[in-house]
Amino acid sequence: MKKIVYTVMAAFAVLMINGCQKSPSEIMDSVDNYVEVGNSYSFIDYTFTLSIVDAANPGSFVENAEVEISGRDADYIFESGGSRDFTPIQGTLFMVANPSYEPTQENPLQFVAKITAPGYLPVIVDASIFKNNPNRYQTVFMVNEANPPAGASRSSSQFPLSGGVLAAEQEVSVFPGAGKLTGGTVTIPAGTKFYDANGSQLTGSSLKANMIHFDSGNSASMACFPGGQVAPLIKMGDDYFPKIGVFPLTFADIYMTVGNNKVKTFSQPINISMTISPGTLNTETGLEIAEGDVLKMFSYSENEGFWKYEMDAEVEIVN
Amino acid sequence: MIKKLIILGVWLFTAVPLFAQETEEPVAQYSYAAALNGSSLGFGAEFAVKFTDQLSGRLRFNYLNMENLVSQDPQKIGGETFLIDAGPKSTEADIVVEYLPFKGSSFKVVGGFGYFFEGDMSVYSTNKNGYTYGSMHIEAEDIGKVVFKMDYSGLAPYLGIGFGRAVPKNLVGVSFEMGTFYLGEPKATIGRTELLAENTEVNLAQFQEDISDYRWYPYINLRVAINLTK
Repeated sequence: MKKIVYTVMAAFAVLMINGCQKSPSEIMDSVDNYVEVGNSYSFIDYTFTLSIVDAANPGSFVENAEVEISGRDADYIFESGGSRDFTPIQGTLFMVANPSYEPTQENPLQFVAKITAPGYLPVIVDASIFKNNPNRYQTVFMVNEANPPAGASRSSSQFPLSGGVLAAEQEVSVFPGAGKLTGGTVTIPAGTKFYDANGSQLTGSSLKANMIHFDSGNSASMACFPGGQVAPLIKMGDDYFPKIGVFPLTFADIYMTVGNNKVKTFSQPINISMTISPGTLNTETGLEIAEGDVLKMFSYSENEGFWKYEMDAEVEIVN
Repeated sequence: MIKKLIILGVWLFTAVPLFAQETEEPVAQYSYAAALNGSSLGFGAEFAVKFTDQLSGRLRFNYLNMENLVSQDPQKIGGETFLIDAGPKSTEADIVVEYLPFKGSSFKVVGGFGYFFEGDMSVYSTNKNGYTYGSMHIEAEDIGKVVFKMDYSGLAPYLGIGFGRAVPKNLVGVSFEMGTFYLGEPKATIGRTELLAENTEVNLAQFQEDISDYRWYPYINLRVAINLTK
Protein backbone atom coordinates (compact mmCIF):
# COMPACT_ATOMS: atom_id res chain seq x y z
CA MET A 1 0.00 0.00 0.00
CA LYS A 2 2.83 2.36 0.86
CA LYS A 3 4.26 1.76 -2.60
CA ILE A 4 1.03 2.90 -4.21
CA VAL A 5 0.86 5.98 -2.02
CA TYR A 6 4.40 7.07 -2.74
CA THR A 7 3.98 6.47 -6.45
CA VAL A 8 0.86 8.64 -6.55
CA MET A 9 2.57 11.43 -4.60
CA ALA A 10 5.64 11.33 -6.83
CA ALA A 11 3.43 11.56 -9.92
CA PHE A 12 1.68 14.59 -8.42
CA ALA A 13 4.98 16.27 -7.68
CA VAL A 14 6.24 15.71 -11.22
CA LEU A 15 3.00 17.10 -12.66
CA MET A 16 3.20 20.22 -10.52
CA ILE A 17 6.83 20.93 -11.26
CA ASN A 18 6.70 20.35 -14.99
CA GLY A 19 3.35 21.99 -15.54
CA CYS A 20 4.67 25.00 -17.48
CA GLN A 21 7.01 25.31 -20.43
CA LYS A 22 8.37 28.66 -19.31
CA SER A 23 9.32 29.01 -15.68
CA PRO A 24 8.34 32.10 -13.65
CA SER A 25 11.99 33.10 -13.67
CA GLU A 26 12.08 32.91 -17.45
CA ILE A 27 8.90 34.99 -17.62
CA MET A 28 10.58 37.63 -15.47
CA ASP A 29 13.64 37.57 -17.70
CA SER A 30 11.42 38.08 -20.73
CA VAL A 31 9.72 41.32 -19.70
CA ASP A 32 11.71 43.26 -22.29
CA ASN A 33 9.90 41.17 -24.92
CA TYR A 34 6.56 42.33 -23.62
CA VAL A 35 7.18 46.06 -23.36
CA GLU A 36 9.18 48.49 -25.43
CA VAL A 37 10.17 51.97 -24.32
CA GLY A 38 10.10 54.60 -27.06
CA ASN A 39 13.35 56.12 -28.26
CA SER A 40 12.36 59.56 -27.05
CA TYR A 41 10.28 60.16 -24.00
CA SER A 42 7.25 62.36 -24.28
CA PHE A 43 7.15 63.37 -20.68
CA ILE A 44 6.37 67.07 -20.68
CA ASP A 45 2.79 67.80 -19.77
CA TYR A 46 3.07 71.36 -18.51
CA THR A 47 4.68 74.27 -20.34
CA PHE A 48 4.89 78.01 -20.00
CA THR A 49 5.98 80.18 -22.92
CA LEU A 50 6.96 83.81 -22.62
CA SER A 51 6.97 86.01 -25.67
CA ILE A 52 8.87 89.18 -24.81
CA VAL A 53 8.05 92.10 -27.05
CA ASP A 54 8.57 95.85 -27.16
CA ALA A 55 5.41 97.52 -25.85
CA ALA A 56 5.74 100.35 -28.36
CA ASN A 57 6.12 97.90 -31.20
CA PRO A 58 4.63 94.49 -30.28
CA GLY A 59 5.84 93.01 -33.57
CA SER A 60 9.44 93.34 -32.41
CA PHE A 61 10.98 91.15 -29.77
CA VAL A 62 13.19 92.59 -27.06
CA GLU A 63 16.83 91.81 -27.66
CA ASN A 64 19.19 90.70 -24.90
CA ALA A 65 16.39 90.01 -22.49
CA GLU A 66 17.23 87.89 -19.47
CA VAL A 67 14.84 85.90 -17.36
CA GLU A 68 15.33 84.94 -13.75
CA ILE A 69 13.05 82.30 -12.26
CA SER A 70 12.22 82.28 -8.57
CA GLY A 71 9.30 81.52 -6.31
CA ARG A 72 7.79 78.54 -4.59
CA ASP A 73 8.06 75.98 -7.37
CA ALA A 74 11.00 77.45 -9.26
CA ASP A 75 13.03 74.26 -8.86
CA TYR A 76 10.57 72.44 -11.10
CA ILE A 77 10.89 74.89 -13.98
CA PHE A 78 13.39 74.33 -16.77
CA GLU A 79 14.10 75.71 -20.19
CA SER A 80 12.67 73.38 -22.83
CA GLY A 81 16.07 71.73 -23.38
CA GLY A 82 16.16 70.71 -19.74
CA SER A 83 18.67 73.37 -18.69
CA ARG A 84 18.42 76.18 -16.16
CA ASP A 85 19.61 78.74 -18.68
CA PHE A 86 16.55 80.92 -19.18
CA THR A 87 17.83 82.99 -22.05
CA PRO A 88 15.06 83.81 -24.51
CA ILE A 89 15.75 83.04 -28.15
CA GLN A 90 14.46 85.80 -30.39
CA GLY A 91 12.29 87.04 -27.55
CA THR A 92 10.72 83.66 -26.84
CA LEU A 93 11.38 81.46 -23.85
CA PHE A 94 9.91 77.97 -23.77
CA MET A 95 9.77 76.59 -20.26
CA VAL A 96 8.73 73.14 -19.14
CA ALA A 97 7.80 71.71 -15.76
CA ASN A 98 9.44 68.67 -14.27
CA PRO A 99 6.79 65.94 -14.43
CA SER A 100 7.64 65.06 -10.85
CA TYR A 101 5.38 67.98 -9.96
CA GLU A 102 1.73 67.36 -10.69
CA PRO A 103 -0.24 70.61 -10.36
CA THR A 104 -3.93 70.62 -9.55
CA GLN A 105 -6.61 73.23 -9.87
CA GLU A 106 -6.36 73.93 -6.16
CA ASN A 107 -2.59 73.75 -5.98
CA PRO A 108 -1.10 75.08 -9.22
CA LEU A 109 2.56 75.16 -10.03
CA GLN A 110 3.69 78.68 -9.12
CA PHE A 111 6.81 80.61 -9.97
CA VAL A 112 7.92 84.14 -10.71
CA ALA A 113 9.75 85.23 -13.85
CA LYS A 114 11.68 88.47 -13.60
CA ILE A 115 12.48 89.80 -17.05
CA THR A 116 15.12 92.42 -17.59
CA ALA A 117 16.67 93.94 -20.69
CA PRO A 118 19.04 96.87 -21.16
CA GLY A 119 17.07 100.11 -21.60
CA TYR A 120 13.75 98.51 -20.61
CA LEU A 121 11.72 98.61 -17.42
CA PRO A 122 11.89 95.24 -15.67
CA VAL A 123 8.78 93.10 -15.71
CA ILE A 124 7.60 90.58 -13.17
CA VAL A 125 5.41 87.72 -14.32
CA ASP A 126 3.63 85.93 -11.51
CA ALA A 127 3.06 82.62 -13.26
CA SER A 128 0.76 79.75 -12.40
CA ILE A 129 0.18 76.50 -14.26
CA PHE A 130 -3.08 74.76 -13.51
CA LYS A 131 -3.95 71.17 -14.31
CA ASN A 132 -6.76 72.22 -16.62
CA ASN A 133 -4.60 74.75 -18.44
CA PRO A 134 -1.33 72.88 -18.89
CA ASN A 135 0.17 74.93 -21.70
CA ARG A 136 0.35 78.60 -20.85
CA TYR A 137 1.42 81.34 -23.22
CA GLN A 138 1.97 84.91 -22.13
CA THR A 139 3.09 87.95 -24.05
CA VAL A 140 5.23 90.30 -22.00
CA PHE A 141 5.16 93.92 -23.09
CA MET A 142 8.39 95.61 -22.02
CA VAL A 143 8.62 99.36 -21.90
CA ASN A 144 11.59 100.87 -23.63
CA GLU A 145 12.46 103.89 -21.49
CA ALA A 146 13.55 105.82 -24.53
CA ASN A 147 10.51 104.85 -26.54
CA PRO A 148 7.44 104.11 -24.39
CA PRO A 149 4.27 102.79 -26.03
CA ALA A 150 1.31 104.94 -27.03
CA GLY A 151 -0.38 106.38 -23.97
CA ALA A 152 2.86 106.42 -22.01
CA SER A 153 5.44 109.14 -21.68
CA ARG A 154 8.68 109.53 -19.83
CA SER A 155 10.33 112.38 -17.96
CA SER A 156 13.78 112.34 -16.41
CA SER A 157 15.63 114.99 -14.43
CA GLN A 158 18.87 115.24 -12.53
CA PHE A 159 19.18 117.19 -9.26
CA PRO A 160 22.28 118.10 -7.25
CA LEU A 161 22.80 116.60 -3.80
CA SER A 162 24.75 118.17 -1.02
CA GLY A 163 26.18 115.56 1.29
CA GLY A 164 23.59 113.13 0.02
CA VAL A 165 20.76 115.56 0.85
CA LEU A 166 18.44 117.27 -1.60
CA ALA A 167 18.89 121.01 -0.99
CA ALA A 168 15.62 122.25 -2.54
CA GLU A 169 12.24 120.78 -3.40
CA GLN A 170 12.27 119.21 -6.86
CA GLU A 171 9.67 117.88 -9.25
CA VAL A 172 9.56 115.44 -12.10
CA SER A 173 6.46 115.71 -14.25
CA VAL A 174 4.90 113.94 -17.20
CA PHE A 175 2.35 116.13 -18.91
CA PRO A 176 -0.54 115.21 -21.14
CA GLY A 177 0.27 115.73 -24.79
CA ALA A 178 -0.28 114.33 -28.22
CA GLY A 179 -1.97 110.95 -27.84
CA LYS A 180 -1.71 111.17 -24.07
CA LEU A 181 -4.61 112.24 -21.93
CA THR A 182 -3.22 112.13 -18.39
CA GLY A 183 0.02 112.76 -16.56
CA GLY A 184 1.64 112.89 -13.16
CA THR A 185 4.13 114.63 -10.93
CA VAL A 186 6.61 113.43 -8.34
CA THR A 187 7.54 116.05 -5.76
CA ILE A 188 10.58 115.46 -3.57
CA PRO A 189 10.75 117.80 -0.60
CA ALA A 190 13.92 119.64 0.37
CA GLY A 191 16.12 117.85 2.90
CA THR A 192 15.26 114.39 1.64
CA LYS A 193 17.93 111.71 2.06
CA PHE A 194 18.00 108.58 -0.08
CA TYR A 195 18.63 104.97 0.92
CA ASP A 196 19.30 101.72 -0.92
CA ALA A 197 17.59 98.39 -0.37
CA ASN A 198 19.93 97.65 2.56
CA GLY A 199 19.01 100.88 4.30
CA SER A 200 22.36 102.53 3.62
CA GLN A 201 22.26 106.22 2.76
CA LEU A 202 23.35 107.02 -0.78
CA THR A 203 25.83 109.87 -0.90
CA GLY A 204 26.45 110.69 -4.53
CA SER A 205 26.59 114.15 -5.98
CA SER A 206 23.32 114.02 -7.83
CA LEU A 207 19.94 112.34 -7.94
CA LYS A 208 18.46 111.09 -11.18
CA ALA A 209 14.66 110.82 -11.00
CA ASN A 210 12.60 109.12 -13.70
CA MET A 211 8.87 108.88 -14.20
CA ILE A 212 7.02 107.01 -16.91
CA HIS A 213 3.32 107.65 -16.73
CA PHE A 214 0.71 105.46 -18.37
CA ASP A 215 -2.81 106.33 -19.52
CA SER A 216 -5.41 103.88 -18.33
CA GLY A 217 -7.57 104.39 -21.41
CA ASN A 218 -4.96 103.20 -23.88
CA SER A 219 -4.63 99.49 -24.62
CA ALA A 220 -0.93 99.76 -25.50
CA SER A 221 -0.04 101.36 -22.19
CA MET A 222 -2.43 99.16 -20.23
CA ALA A 223 -0.66 96.09 -21.64
CA CYS A 224 2.31 97.20 -19.55
CA PHE A 225 0.37 97.17 -16.28
CA PRO A 226 2.63 95.26 -13.88
CA GLY A 227 1.26 91.89 -12.83
CA GLY A 228 -1.53 92.04 -15.41
CA GLN A 229 -5.09 93.13 -14.88
CA VAL A 230 -6.67 89.72 -14.75
CA ALA A 231 -5.30 88.26 -11.58
CA PRO A 232 -2.53 90.33 -10.04
CA LEU A 233 -1.46 89.46 -6.56
CA ILE A 234 -2.58 92.14 -4.13
CA LYS A 235 -1.55 92.61 -0.53
CA MET A 236 -3.73 94.56 1.84
CA GLY A 237 -2.34 94.59 5.36
CA ASP A 238 -1.18 91.07 6.04
CA ASP A 239 -3.61 89.47 3.60
CA TYR A 240 -2.91 88.47 0.01
CA PHE A 241 -5.64 88.41 -2.61
CA PRO A 242 -4.47 86.51 -5.69
CA LYS A 243 -7.57 86.57 -7.86
CA ILE A 244 -8.87 90.10 -7.79
CA GLY A 245 -9.48 91.83 -11.06
CA VAL A 246 -8.28 95.43 -10.90
CA PHE A 247 -9.24 98.53 -12.85
CA PRO A 248 -6.29 100.89 -12.63
CA LEU A 249 -7.37 104.48 -13.19
CA THR A 250 -3.82 105.65 -13.69
CA PHE A 251 -0.35 104.30 -12.98
CA ALA A 252 3.27 105.28 -13.27
CA ASP A 253 6.71 103.76 -13.01
CA ILE A 254 8.96 105.88 -10.81
CA TYR A 255 12.57 105.11 -10.13
CA MET A 256 15.52 107.08 -8.89
CA THR A 257 19.26 106.52 -8.77
CA VAL A 258 22.16 108.12 -7.00
CA GLY A 259 25.16 107.32 -9.11
CA ASN A 260 24.59 103.71 -10.14
CA ASN A 261 22.68 102.82 -7.00
CA LYS A 262 18.92 102.43 -6.99
CA VAL A 263 16.96 104.42 -4.43
CA LYS A 264 14.66 102.21 -2.39
CA THR A 265 13.46 104.43 0.45
CA PHE A 266 13.46 108.06 1.53
CA SER A 267 14.05 109.90 4.78
CA GLN A 268 10.63 111.53 4.46
CA PRO A 269 7.50 110.99 2.35
CA ILE A 270 7.53 112.18 -1.23
CA ASN A 271 4.41 113.35 -2.98
CA ILE A 272 2.95 111.68 -6.07
CA SER A 273 0.01 113.07 -7.95
CA MET A 274 -1.54 111.67 -11.10
CA THR A 275 -4.40 112.88 -13.21
CA ILE A 276 -7.41 110.83 -14.22
CA SER A 277 -9.31 111.25 -17.46
CA PRO A 278 -12.61 113.11 -17.05
CA GLY A 279 -15.58 110.79 -17.34
CA THR A 280 -13.75 107.82 -15.85
CA LEU A 281 -16.08 105.52 -13.95
CA ASN A 282 -15.58 104.94 -10.25
CA THR A 283 -16.24 101.18 -9.97
CA GLU A 284 -17.06 101.51 -6.28
CA THR A 285 -19.78 104.11 -6.69
CA GLY A 286 -20.82 103.27 -10.23
CA LEU A 287 -20.64 106.98 -11.05
CA GLU A 288 -18.11 109.15 -12.78
CA ILE A 289 -15.10 110.04 -10.70
CA ALA A 290 -15.87 113.18 -8.75
CA GLU A 291 -14.07 115.51 -6.43
CA GLY A 292 -13.87 114.05 -2.95
CA ASP A 293 -13.98 110.42 -4.10
CA VAL A 294 -11.56 108.30 -2.14
CA LEU A 295 -9.41 105.93 -4.20
CA LYS A 296 -6.97 103.26 -3.07
CA MET A 297 -3.29 103.71 -3.90
CA PHE A 298 -1.02 100.72 -4.40
CA SER A 299 2.68 100.25 -5.03
CA TYR A 300 4.35 97.45 -6.94
CA SER A 301 7.79 96.16 -6.13
CA GLU A 302 9.67 94.43 -8.91
CA ASN A 303 11.41 92.28 -6.30
CA GLU A 304 8.24 91.18 -4.55
CA GLY A 305 5.91 90.86 -7.50
CA PHE A 306 2.69 92.06 -5.92
CA TRP A 307 0.67 95.23 -5.53
CA LYS A 308 0.72 96.51 -1.98
CA TYR A 309 -1.95 98.82 -0.59
CA GLU A 310 -0.35 102.05 0.58
CA MET A 311 -3.04 104.56 1.43
CA ASP A 312 -6.31 106.18 0.43
CA ALA A 313 -6.13 109.27 -1.76
CA GLU A 314 -8.76 111.91 -2.29
CA VAL A 315 -9.65 113.10 -5.76
CA GLU A 316 -9.18 116.81 -6.38
CA ILE A 317 -10.22 118.93 -9.33
CA VAL A 318 -7.19 120.38 -11.11
CA ASN A 319 -7.52 123.07 -13.68
CA MET B 1 -46.79 -15.86 35.04
CA ILE B 2 -45.99 -13.05 37.38
CA LYS B 3 -42.31 -13.75 36.84
CA LYS B 4 -42.77 -13.53 33.07
CA LEU B 5 -44.61 -10.21 33.37
CA ILE B 6 -41.83 -8.81 35.51
CA ILE B 7 -39.29 -9.89 32.98
CA LEU B 8 -41.33 -8.34 30.17
CA GLY B 9 -41.76 -5.16 32.17
CA VAL B 10 -38.04 -4.82 32.71
CA TRP B 11 -37.45 -5.42 29.04
CA LEU B 12 -39.95 -2.73 28.06
CA PHE B 13 -38.45 -0.17 30.41
CA THR B 14 -35.00 -0.84 29.17
CA ALA B 15 -36.08 -0.92 25.55
CA VAL B 16 -37.45 2.61 25.55
CA PRO B 17 -34.19 4.30 26.52
CA LEU B 18 -32.32 2.08 24.09
CA PHE B 19 -34.62 3.10 21.27
CA ALA B 20 -34.16 6.72 22.16
CA GLN B 21 -30.39 6.31 22.07
CA GLU B 22 -30.53 4.71 18.59
CA THR B 23 -32.39 7.67 17.06
CA GLU B 24 -29.70 10.16 18.24
CA GLU B 25 -26.74 8.03 17.20
CA PRO B 26 -26.32 9.29 13.59
CA VAL B 27 -25.96 12.89 14.88
CA ALA B 28 -23.47 11.84 17.48
CA GLN B 29 -21.22 10.23 14.81
CA TYR B 30 -20.35 13.62 13.26
CA SER B 31 -17.33 15.28 14.67
CA TYR B 32 -15.84 18.65 13.91
CA ALA B 33 -12.49 20.34 13.74
CA ALA B 34 -11.07 23.79 13.25
CA ALA B 35 -7.71 24.14 11.61
CA LEU B 36 -5.05 26.62 10.57
CA ASN B 37 -3.32 26.15 7.25
CA GLY B 38 0.05 27.28 6.02
CA SER B 39 0.24 26.61 2.33
CA SER B 40 1.25 27.78 -1.10
CA LEU B 41 -1.98 29.79 -0.97
CA GLY B 42 -0.76 31.64 2.09
CA PHE B 43 -2.34 31.44 5.48
CA GLY B 44 -5.83 30.18 6.03
CA ALA B 45 -8.48 28.91 8.37
CA GLU B 46 -10.65 25.87 7.99
CA PHE B 47 -13.68 24.11 9.36
CA ALA B 48 -13.96 20.34 8.91
CA VAL B 49 -16.72 17.81 9.46
CA LYS B 50 -16.16 14.08 9.70
CA PHE B 51 -19.08 12.17 8.23
CA THR B 52 -17.62 8.70 8.59
CA ASP B 53 -14.23 7.29 9.43
CA GLN B 54 -13.32 7.56 5.75
CA LEU B 55 -15.21 10.61 4.56
CA SER B 56 -14.95 14.22 5.66
CA GLY B 57 -15.83 17.61 4.31
CA ARG B 58 -13.76 20.78 4.65
CA LEU B 59 -14.39 24.48 4.06
CA ARG B 60 -11.19 26.49 3.70
CA PHE B 61 -10.22 30.13 3.31
CA ASN B 62 -6.77 31.23 2.22
CA TYR B 63 -5.12 34.59 1.79
CA LEU B 64 -1.80 35.33 0.16
CA ASN B 65 -0.06 38.61 -0.60
CA MET B 66 3.60 38.30 -1.54
CA GLU B 67 3.92 40.79 -4.37
CA ASN B 68 7.67 41.20 -3.97
CA LEU B 69 8.44 37.56 -3.27
CA VAL B 70 11.04 37.22 -6.01
CA SER B 71 13.54 39.79 -7.26
CA GLN B 72 15.55 39.49 -10.40
CA ASP B 73 18.69 41.35 -11.44
CA PRO B 74 17.96 44.76 -12.97
CA GLN B 75 17.16 44.62 -16.66
CA LYS B 76 17.53 47.08 -19.51
CA ILE B 77 14.35 48.01 -21.30
CA GLY B 78 14.71 50.62 -24.02
CA GLY B 79 18.08 51.67 -22.61
CA GLU B 80 16.65 52.26 -19.15
CA THR B 81 17.38 50.12 -16.12
CA PHE B 82 14.43 48.48 -14.46
CA LEU B 83 14.06 46.55 -11.24
CA ILE B 84 12.03 43.39 -11.56
CA ASP B 85 9.96 41.98 -8.70
CA ALA B 86 7.27 39.36 -8.79
CA GLY B 87 4.90 37.52 -6.54
CA PRO B 88 1.44 36.04 -6.15
CA LYS B 89 -1.60 37.57 -4.54
CA SER B 90 -4.85 35.73 -3.91
CA THR B 91 -7.93 35.42 -1.78
CA GLU B 92 -9.43 31.98 -2.12
CA ALA B 93 -12.14 29.79 -0.60
CA ASP B 94 -12.76 26.16 -1.35
CA ILE B 95 -14.96 23.30 -0.34
CA VAL B 96 -13.48 19.82 -0.58
CA VAL B 97 -14.26 16.25 0.30
CA GLU B 98 -11.59 14.13 1.92
CA TYR B 99 -11.58 10.38 1.47
CA LEU B 100 -9.32 7.93 3.27
CA PRO B 101 -9.24 4.83 1.03
CA PHE B 102 -7.16 2.59 3.31
CA LYS B 103 -8.38 1.58 6.73
CA GLY B 104 -5.70 2.06 9.32
CA SER B 105 -3.87 4.62 7.20
CA SER B 106 -4.22 8.39 7.20
CA PHE B 107 -3.44 8.59 3.49
CA LYS B 108 -6.17 10.64 1.85
CA VAL B 109 -7.45 11.78 -1.46
CA VAL B 110 -8.96 15.26 -1.52
CA GLY B 111 -11.16 16.76 -4.22
CA GLY B 112 -13.43 19.75 -4.60
CA PHE B 113 -13.72 23.26 -5.93
CA GLY B 114 -12.06 26.48 -5.06
CA TYR B 115 -13.01 30.00 -5.95
CA PHE B 116 -10.33 32.64 -6.37
CA PHE B 117 -11.99 35.96 -5.55
CA GLU B 118 -8.71 37.65 -6.36
CA GLY B 119 -5.97 35.63 -7.90
CA ASP B 120 -3.01 36.87 -9.82
CA MET B 121 0.70 36.59 -10.29
CA SER B 122 2.25 39.96 -11.04
CA VAL B 123 5.66 40.98 -12.27
CA TYR B 124 6.55 44.56 -11.35
CA SER B 125 9.04 46.32 -13.52
CA THR B 126 10.11 49.58 -11.91
CA ASN B 127 12.50 52.18 -13.27
CA LYS B 128 15.61 52.12 -11.10
CA ASN B 129 17.33 55.48 -11.35
CA GLY B 130 14.74 57.82 -12.74
CA TYR B 131 15.40 59.78 -15.91
CA THR B 132 17.69 62.72 -16.50
CA TYR B 133 16.97 65.27 -19.18
CA GLY B 134 19.52 68.05 -19.22
CA SER B 135 19.58 69.37 -15.68
CA MET B 136 16.14 67.95 -15.00
CA HIS B 137 15.93 64.74 -13.04
CA ILE B 138 12.69 62.85 -12.93
CA GLU B 139 12.37 60.60 -9.93
CA ALA B 140 11.92 56.88 -10.51
CA GLU B 141 8.51 56.94 -8.85
CA ASP B 142 7.38 59.51 -11.39
CA ILE B 143 8.62 57.39 -14.27
CA GLY B 144 6.19 54.76 -13.08
CA LYS B 145 6.14 51.01 -13.42
CA VAL B 146 4.89 48.26 -15.66
CA VAL B 147 2.83 45.50 -14.10
CA PHE B 148 2.59 42.23 -15.98
CA LYS B 149 -0.31 40.38 -14.47
CA MET B 150 -1.69 36.91 -15.04
CA ASP B 151 -5.19 36.85 -13.66
CA TYR B 152 -6.57 33.49 -12.68
CA SER B 153 -9.53 34.51 -10.54
CA GLY B 154 -12.65 32.37 -10.82
CA LEU B 155 -13.76 28.82 -10.18
CA ALA B 156 -11.06 26.14 -10.02
CA PRO B 157 -11.46 22.38 -9.45
CA TYR B 158 -9.02 20.86 -7.03
CA LEU B 159 -7.47 17.42 -6.54
CA GLY B 160 -4.91 16.49 -3.96
CA ILE B 161 -3.45 13.76 -1.78
CA GLY B 162 -1.84 13.70 1.61
CA PHE B 163 -1.63 12.31 5.10
CA GLY B 164 -3.63 13.15 8.17
CA ARG B 165 -7.30 13.29 9.02
CA ALA B 166 -9.59 16.26 8.59
CA VAL B 167 -10.82 15.72 12.15
CA PRO B 168 -7.91 14.33 14.19
CA LYS B 169 -8.37 11.27 16.36
CA ASN B 170 -6.81 13.11 19.25
CA LEU B 171 -7.37 16.65 20.39
CA VAL B 172 -4.72 18.05 18.04
CA GLY B 173 -3.53 16.65 14.76
CA VAL B 174 -1.10 17.64 12.05
CA SER B 175 -1.60 16.78 8.42
CA PHE B 176 0.11 17.31 5.11
CA GLU B 177 -1.44 17.69 1.71
CA MET B 178 -0.31 18.39 -1.83
CA GLY B 179 -2.45 18.91 -4.86
CA THR B 180 -3.29 21.31 -7.60
CA PHE B 181 -6.04 23.64 -8.68
CA TYR B 182 -6.91 23.77 -12.34
CA LEU B 183 -7.25 27.44 -13.17
CA GLY B 184 -7.74 27.43 -16.88
CA GLU B 185 -5.70 29.78 -19.02
CA PRO B 186 -4.93 32.92 -17.04
CA LYS B 187 -5.77 36.27 -18.56
CA ALA B 188 -2.73 38.41 -19.29
CA THR B 189 -2.77 42.16 -18.72
CA ILE B 190 0.00 44.72 -18.85
CA GLY B 191 -0.62 47.85 -16.80
CA ARG B 192 1.52 50.96 -16.99
CA THR B 193 1.60 53.99 -14.73
CA GLU B 194 2.86 57.57 -14.83
CA LEU B 195 5.20 58.38 -17.73
CA LEU B 196 5.59 54.79 -18.81
CA ALA B 197 1.90 54.80 -19.70
CA GLU B 198 2.60 57.33 -22.44
CA ASN B 199 5.98 56.13 -23.61
CA THR B 200 5.76 52.38 -23.98
CA GLU B 201 4.35 49.89 -26.44
CA VAL B 202 3.28 46.51 -25.14
CA ASN B 203 3.28 43.07 -26.70
CA LEU B 204 0.34 41.57 -24.84
CA ALA B 205 -0.09 38.69 -27.27
CA GLN B 206 3.42 37.40 -26.58
CA PHE B 207 2.90 37.63 -22.84
CA GLN B 208 -0.44 35.85 -23.12
CA GLU B 209 1.16 33.09 -25.15
CA ASP B 210 4.03 32.62 -22.70
CA ILE B 211 1.70 32.22 -19.73
CA SER B 212 -0.98 30.24 -21.54
CA ASP B 213 0.07 26.95 -19.90
CA TYR B 214 0.09 28.41 -16.40
CA ARG B 215 -3.14 26.57 -15.73
CA TRP B 216 -2.24 24.59 -12.62
CA TYR B 217 -1.76 26.14 -9.22
CA PRO B 218 0.27 23.82 -6.99
CA TYR B 219 -1.05 23.51 -3.49
CA ILE B 220 1.16 22.25 -0.68
CA ASN B 221 -0.34 22.54 2.75
CA LEU B 222 0.74 21.91 6.31
CA ARG B 223 -2.22 21.92 8.63
CA VAL B 224 -2.81 21.90 12.38
CA ALA B 225 -6.31 20.89 13.46
CA ILE B 226 -8.16 20.80 16.78
CA ASN B 227 -10.92 18.28 17.31
CA LEU B 228 -13.83 20.34 18.59
CA THR B 229 -15.79 17.33 19.78
CA LYS B 230 -13.15 16.02 22.17
